[in-house]
Amino acid sequence: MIKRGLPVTIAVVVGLITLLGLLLPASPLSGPGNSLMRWAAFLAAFALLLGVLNLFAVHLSRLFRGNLYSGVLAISMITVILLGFTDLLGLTSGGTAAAFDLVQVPLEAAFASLLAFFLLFAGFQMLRQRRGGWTFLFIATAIFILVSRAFSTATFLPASLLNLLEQVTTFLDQVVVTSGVRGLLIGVALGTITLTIRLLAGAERPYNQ
Amino acid sequence: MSEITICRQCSAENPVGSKYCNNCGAVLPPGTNIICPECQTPNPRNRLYCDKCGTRLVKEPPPAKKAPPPEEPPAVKRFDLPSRPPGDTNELDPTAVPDWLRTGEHSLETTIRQSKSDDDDLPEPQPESKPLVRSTGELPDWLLEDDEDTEALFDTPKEITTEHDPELLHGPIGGEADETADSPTEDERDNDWQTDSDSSWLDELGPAHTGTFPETGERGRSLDPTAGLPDLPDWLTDIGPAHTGDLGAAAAAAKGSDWLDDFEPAYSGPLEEPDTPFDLDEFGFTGQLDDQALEASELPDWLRNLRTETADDDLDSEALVNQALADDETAYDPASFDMDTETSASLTAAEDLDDLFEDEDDDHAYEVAPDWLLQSLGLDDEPIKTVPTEEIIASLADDGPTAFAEIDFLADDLDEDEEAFDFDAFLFDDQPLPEAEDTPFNADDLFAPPPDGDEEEADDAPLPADHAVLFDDRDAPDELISEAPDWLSEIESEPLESEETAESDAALTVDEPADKPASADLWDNLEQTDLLIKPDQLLADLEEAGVGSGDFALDPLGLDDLDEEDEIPEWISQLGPLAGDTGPLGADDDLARNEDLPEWITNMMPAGDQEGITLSGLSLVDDDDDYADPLDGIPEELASADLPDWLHDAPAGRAINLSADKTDTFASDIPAWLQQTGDDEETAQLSAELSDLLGPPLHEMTPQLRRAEIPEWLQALKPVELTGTETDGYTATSGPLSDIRGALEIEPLIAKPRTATPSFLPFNVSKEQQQQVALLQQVIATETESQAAPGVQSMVSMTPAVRAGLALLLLLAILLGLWGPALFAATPAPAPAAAALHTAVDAAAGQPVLMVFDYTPALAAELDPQAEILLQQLAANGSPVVSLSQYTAGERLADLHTAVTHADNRTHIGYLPGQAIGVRQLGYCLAAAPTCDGLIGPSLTLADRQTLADVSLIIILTGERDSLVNWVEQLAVYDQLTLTAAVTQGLRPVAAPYAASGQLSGLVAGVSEAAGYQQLLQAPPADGLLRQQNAQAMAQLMAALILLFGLFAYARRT
Repeated sequence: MIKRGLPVTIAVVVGLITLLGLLLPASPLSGPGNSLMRWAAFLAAFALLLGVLNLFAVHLSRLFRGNLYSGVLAISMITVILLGFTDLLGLTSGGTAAAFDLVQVPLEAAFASLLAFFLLFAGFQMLRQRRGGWTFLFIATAIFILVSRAFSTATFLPASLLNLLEQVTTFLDQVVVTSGVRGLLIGVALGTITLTIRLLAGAERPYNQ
Repeated sequence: MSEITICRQCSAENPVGSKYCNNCGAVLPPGTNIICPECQTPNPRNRLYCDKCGTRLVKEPPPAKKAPPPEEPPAVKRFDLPSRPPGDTNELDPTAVPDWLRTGEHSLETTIRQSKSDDDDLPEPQPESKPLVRSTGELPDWLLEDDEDTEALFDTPKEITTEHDPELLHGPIGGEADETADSPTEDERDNDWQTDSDSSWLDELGPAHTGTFPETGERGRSLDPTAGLPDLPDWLTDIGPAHTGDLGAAAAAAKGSDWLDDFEPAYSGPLEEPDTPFDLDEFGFTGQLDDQALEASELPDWLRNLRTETADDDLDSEALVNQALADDETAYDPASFDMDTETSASLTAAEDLDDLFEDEDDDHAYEVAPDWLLQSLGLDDEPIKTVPTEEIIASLADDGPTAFAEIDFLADDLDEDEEAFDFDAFLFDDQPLPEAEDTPFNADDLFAPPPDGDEEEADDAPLPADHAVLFDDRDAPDELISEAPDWLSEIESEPLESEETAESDAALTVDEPADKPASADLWDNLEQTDLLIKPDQLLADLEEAGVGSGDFALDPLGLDDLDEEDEIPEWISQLGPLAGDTGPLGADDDLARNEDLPEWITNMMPAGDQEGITLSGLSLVDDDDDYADPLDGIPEELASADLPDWLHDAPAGRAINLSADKTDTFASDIPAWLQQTGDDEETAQLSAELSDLLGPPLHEMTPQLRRAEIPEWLQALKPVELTGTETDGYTATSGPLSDIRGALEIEPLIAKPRTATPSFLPFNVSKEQQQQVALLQQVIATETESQAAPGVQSMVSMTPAVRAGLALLLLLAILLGLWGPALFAATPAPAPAAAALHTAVDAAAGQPVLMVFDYTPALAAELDPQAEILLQQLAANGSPVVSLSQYTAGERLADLHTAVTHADNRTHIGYLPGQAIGVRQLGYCLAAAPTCDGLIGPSLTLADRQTLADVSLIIILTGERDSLVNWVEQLAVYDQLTLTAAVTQGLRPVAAPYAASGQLSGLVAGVSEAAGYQQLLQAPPADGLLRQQNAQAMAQLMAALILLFGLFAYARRT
């Protein structure tokens, strides 16, 4: 009973306090609610720290088993931390920024640029594996958007055609795409409300899993 | 899996792999780990395979040699009995056919022997065992049950003994059957039949059938059928009270004499002339005829008692005979004979008997005359069996008229208009009958030796004149007279009138004369034999029992006044309609066809064109020469099949086929009123039972078996192989019911799976399940299609090259856009959302603007131009910048960008953890709420708090949906804050709704809009921005072309 009832009680009480604190900022529950959110953020940061340490320990153990990639990760973590300490201690100047600018920014940019190739290959692969109506609709839509976006800044097309393309693109953005995304957002909001109610009612107990 | 190691010294728990105990330092068992033979990795002891390389740590044990299975006793399968597979006829031996099925006769001895052989558990009586003496008190109730409506004529004996029936214990029934041959001789069968007939087992017939014979019923009940028959088969004992009535005993007695035939009312079926002379053997009187034997073995007690009782009756035939013999009338006058004057008939019969046996050489008389008659006449010195039948017939040729005086008086009165019975044609080969007057009846003649002539001479001997007169109507059909029984002698040509009946009754009351003639000894002897049961006596008994004369359609004693239904027992009423409308029968040869006959009697009559006479359970076929194969019509498989015990035990008389020429006498022995098959089932069963009793011992019937009439219920069990028709029912394949259709299937202990009926627990498929099934089918179909599609394998093999080619084309397009012609470098017009953003930024001029750098270096190429344009505008407006980021990498980007434009007018908060909570906390500070104690992570100074409180515009630079949503949803509650966003082209669909709803006051998405936004700043677009726009456009166009190519390429293959 305690094993299951106590977490539920805590979750329900904390949730109600937080919710009432947000809905009624001037109420006495606003302070406790804000404190609870702070605790939550602290716990999240501490969890992040624990996660980093756990990640380091795991890859360090794998480094001892001969996993080279885990060694690279561990070494990188230690190096950045050391650069931060050296920057903090004044031993170095801009060591962390340099590592970021020289390593992370090019790497992320490179991986992001690969995204265009990956998307192209995925589209082509989808044509090979699934040749249904929805596949053709998806590919056709993608082709139209790409072409319309490309030709929207074309210099060799007449202005009338560019305007036509602009109108079509706007229509797609404001009617088709926006309606679809709004539907997704509304669905997410409803799901959030439902999940909140379930959490407050104790029907949903992710903390017991 | 054990994670600890227990120390042997102190029982302390130690971690796995420890070499020494942590508590006492003792050496732990060394076998803690198993070293992998392949990689030398230590593994716990309970591992079979190595954690590292997967090598098996423990050698697989060699396959254990299968020990020889212990000798087990043969498994006994439940419900498994010895069986024979279908079609395996195995013992197809015609000799294996039961005798009764082959010959049509079924000896009781054989039945009992068979039953005994099948049941060896029954104790065998000792040959010298003492007679069993029991009291009637030990009898079951059903045997002691008496009919309340009838009064017993005889006292029930208090003791039951087998003293007088030793053969029941020592005979074939008593256990000596094993010593006898399987196929008894004819004499043996006859003797057996004689014994069986007289045995008390016949008395077992229950009162349910013949309850109206109380006098015999008493005798039947007086004998315990099981007291002296320990080995009786079950089918006999199972007859039970329902068959232990009195009629069985009466029928058994009737077999031994003709007296029962006196009950014959109207049997007038076509009686043919037999091929063989009249044979007394067929009546079963071939046993020893000495008095003792007759007293002891042949007659049941009740029959002897009956005789004793009837001796005192007023209707005593003995008295009549004596009276007749006292008269000086030796000549028999057939013309004066009248059925009504039974007295005179009896007297004449006595005279004729004396004359018949006067000639001892007349073998014919010996043969024709019943054995009881011979015995009573003192002819028991020599067994009748020793007298050839031919000699008897020859003797009858000489003294026929007198010898047949007991029967000719009935033939004499046949209607002259009809064909008269040709008696001599049967006995004497149509020789002229001698004058009756010339051969006065002399009983001494019966003892005279037969004449010296051979049989033919005897046959050629003329009949006496009186006999000729008796049978003066030569046109009568021979069939009617050939086997005319005694009862027929009582049939009168003229209907019996009540007055005449009264006269007859009066005549029957003639006192016995004091002076008896010599022939009177005949009846004395007859009295002693116990075989003489006089018809009048029996009828009187029946009358007393309440049996109406109408039941027999014949009333020789004038018993018509007993026709009242209330006096008639129920069982007789069920035999047919009462004879209230049945007048007395005349002597017409077509008696049965008399219109006066009741319908139920007429229905019993065989048709004129009928070849045989079909009686209840008996088929009398008048085919003389054609001795049908006994197995004709019986399938060979069935004939030689192993019949179950119950079928062996079944009384064979039910399926007897008799030829008329051989069995007409037998048939005539069966009273027709007992043979008739009425509509009532009980009556039919009664007739069948009687046929069973009378059928078996007749050896002459043996070859006369025709096609067996398999009853329907047995036909239904016929194997499929024989019928050739399929059946819907279950057919057993093993066990005693193998190949038998319609048998109930034995259900095993575990129910067999059966096909569920549609109405039984229907399986409901939900809509979700249907969708899942459809999805799985689609996936399977797609995979199958993809695997089966031609060219797919080639495409897969070309994938690396294709991928490289595609990547190369895309890379060339980008490079071409960066350094190639500016085909797509036109500056688009600024979007309305971008203009709103520009307006918002200008509105927040001079006020701190919060710029959120929630993007990573991966999106820096697309968002950095927007951040730079906005920072330039903010710098131009003199708005200080407060920068932060929810991404660690974004904090660095913010620092980098703000450092260029706002080196001395910025507040860099840095990293803001907590996502939505962090943004919420920041919102308190932005709203100058008292709850803004600080932010999660970064520490805020008072100046920072004040700067945050002065922020009026928030510009969100992000390429992530969650980031945009968190900022918009957490800070939208603060009306004093203006939210704007600069996002990537891909996040535009997410940000556009917020821009359309007003939650975002301005929006810029992508490089092209950034270029258009730059036009609002009234500054030429940056060169790099245009090249980037050109390269991006060319890359998009290349991608569109590649996809279009693939679309057409794969669409064609589809």
